[in-house]
Amino acid sequence: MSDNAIKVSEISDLLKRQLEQIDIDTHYDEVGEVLEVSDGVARIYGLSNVGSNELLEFENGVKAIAMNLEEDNVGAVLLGPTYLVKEGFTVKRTGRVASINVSEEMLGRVINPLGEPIDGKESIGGEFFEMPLERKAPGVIFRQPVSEPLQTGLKAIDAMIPIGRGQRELIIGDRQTGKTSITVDTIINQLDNYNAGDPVYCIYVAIGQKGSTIASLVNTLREYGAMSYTIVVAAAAADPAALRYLAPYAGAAIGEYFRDTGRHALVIYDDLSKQAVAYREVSLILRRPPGREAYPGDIFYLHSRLLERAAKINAQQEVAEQMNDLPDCLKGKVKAGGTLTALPIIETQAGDISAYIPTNVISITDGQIFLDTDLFNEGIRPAINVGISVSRVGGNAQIKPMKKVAGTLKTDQAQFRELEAFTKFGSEMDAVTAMTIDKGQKNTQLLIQPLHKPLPVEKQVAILYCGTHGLLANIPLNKVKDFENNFLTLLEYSYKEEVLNQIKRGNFDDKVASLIEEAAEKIKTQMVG
Amino acid sequence: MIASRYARALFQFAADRQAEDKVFEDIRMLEKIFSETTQLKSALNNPLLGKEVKKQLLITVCGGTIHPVFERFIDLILQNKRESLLHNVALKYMDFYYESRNLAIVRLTTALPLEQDIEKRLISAIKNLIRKDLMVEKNVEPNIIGGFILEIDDLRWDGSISTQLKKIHKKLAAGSFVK
Repeated sequence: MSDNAIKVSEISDLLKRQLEQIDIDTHYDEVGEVLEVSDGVARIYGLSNVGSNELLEFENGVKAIAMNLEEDNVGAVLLGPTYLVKEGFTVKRTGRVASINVSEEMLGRVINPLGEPIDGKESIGGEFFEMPLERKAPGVIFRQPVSEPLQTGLKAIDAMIPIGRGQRELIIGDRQTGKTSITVDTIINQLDNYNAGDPVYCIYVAIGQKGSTIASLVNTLREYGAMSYTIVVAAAAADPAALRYLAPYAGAAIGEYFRDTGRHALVIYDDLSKQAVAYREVSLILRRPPGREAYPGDIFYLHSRLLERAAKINAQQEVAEQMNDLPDCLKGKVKAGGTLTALPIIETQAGDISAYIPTNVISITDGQIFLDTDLFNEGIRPAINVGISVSRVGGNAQIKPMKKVAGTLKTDQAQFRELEAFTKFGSEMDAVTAMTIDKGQKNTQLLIQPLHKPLPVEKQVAILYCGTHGLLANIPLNKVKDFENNFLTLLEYSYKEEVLNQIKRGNFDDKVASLIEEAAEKIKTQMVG
Repeated sequence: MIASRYARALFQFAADRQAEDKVFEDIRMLEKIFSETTQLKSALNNPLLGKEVKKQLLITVCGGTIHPVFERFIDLILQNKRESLLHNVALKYMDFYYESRNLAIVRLTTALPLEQDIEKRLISAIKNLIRKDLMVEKNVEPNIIGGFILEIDDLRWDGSISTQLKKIHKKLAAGSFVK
């Protein structure tokens, strides 16, 4: 009976108005016929004018993307369940390339790569911008060198492997080494920017992950208030391979919307090795010839064209407006100076970074953060292996005080690691070596950071100053954590204006340094006494 | 790719022997069966069936007798174990045939049989538009309720009532108007 109950939305007048708005104009469709369907790929006869990467629609509404244009058939990957498409179905061209409708109201939502919400809430509204999934990256004229920092809130990264806005920094490591945690902390750390009214919009692209993992990640972000400026694009393990392959492109398209409208965005691809596997699956079913490790020949291009789209756009408005391959919906809306930072993640097997996909992505990105299982098990978290982690452009993107304080930290730590390996044999060491080792161990302790506790950059500078200037020499190794906590609390309460705010503004003179030393001395006497 | 090569070879072979039309008739019959049932395809893909059985099957499907040219072709395709491509070959052959005869396939679907007069006017209008000879297939499909669906090769003009209703249903169901 409940089916017969009249809803408010079904009043005749309302229905009539809705009917008036419906476009039932008929126009020519170009159609084809499904010859065979298997494993997410349909072979279609007809569609003689179809374009590569064009979106197709079956008679029951399922969508597909034309990927193989052959003389006697068209190979299309399905974006929906295979069992819904049958032989003999008619397919029609849509005349559009695969694209995603981006709207500001997507912030805080979990969507699939087609832009449909999958978090069970109401449909997404707002003004839509149709952003193509595949788009040429901005050319050289429209770019600018990276110069602003993107603070991750992690001491180890901001001090030694700084990431700039518009950079592509790879996060690579075995399973269970904290790759995702680094990116989640980075998202959480953007909360201050959001509250200050200068948000860095975050797009987290989950590729081939378990649904439960995605749900708990979204929960964490929500808990820390980070969902207000974050969009999660999810193609879970159970989704068709085509969706998993397209998910990063959807993330990039959303990021480009923010980038081209003059804002800052951060996109995280978690992870690209799974995307490569999905693309291999699609390619093999399309009968494209396999190459090394059965990946298709264009697997490098798959990642390079994706990561090239991360960019810092030229700050000159006249130049930015001329940007290449602008989608129609953005014409006249472009603002200069936006950035898109990319943090791709690659999972290695048993630390093998010389495998096919890792080497590809390492060579594409502007540096990598290598996470080590051994370090992780030693309790050094984030488990960053300083020796082989680099940031090729980030140095320009550090605030001045950080450069001053932590300039040599990376090389010092790398040297310490080497030295430490030698002294493990237990031979006697001279005083200088002992001091270097002691300092290295304490700095290592300082760089350890608990999960989801990102630190503002001014506090990072202050505490790292203590480490690099030997203020911790008299503190026992197991008290370094206590020292850090007490020291930061003291700064927060008694030295906020003179030290923290000064550093924040980029001032780091002798006066600030002496105040830090004074505070450190206070804590030391308090702890020792 | 491979299918078009076979189709091109068959077409040229048939053309040399002035048998394109006869082969076309056979192929058209075959294609019709292919698109109506999936059983023929699965039988052809079955490795347990021998060449002779498959050949007999194909001949039966094509109406009991086939042109010697086409028979040779079936021998060749079975010998090369390309019988799984036969559907594509058939479609491609038909394309070659239509192209050589400057023919366009017009499929007209209506809910009720069309009046002679209207049909003639429609067909001559299409003829003037695309400047090709037409091969007209008429279907009566009461399910479309009213209007008509016109297909010319790859193009389709769907002016049926059922499609319009479907569009309305889709829009209303999407709820984009109801806030």
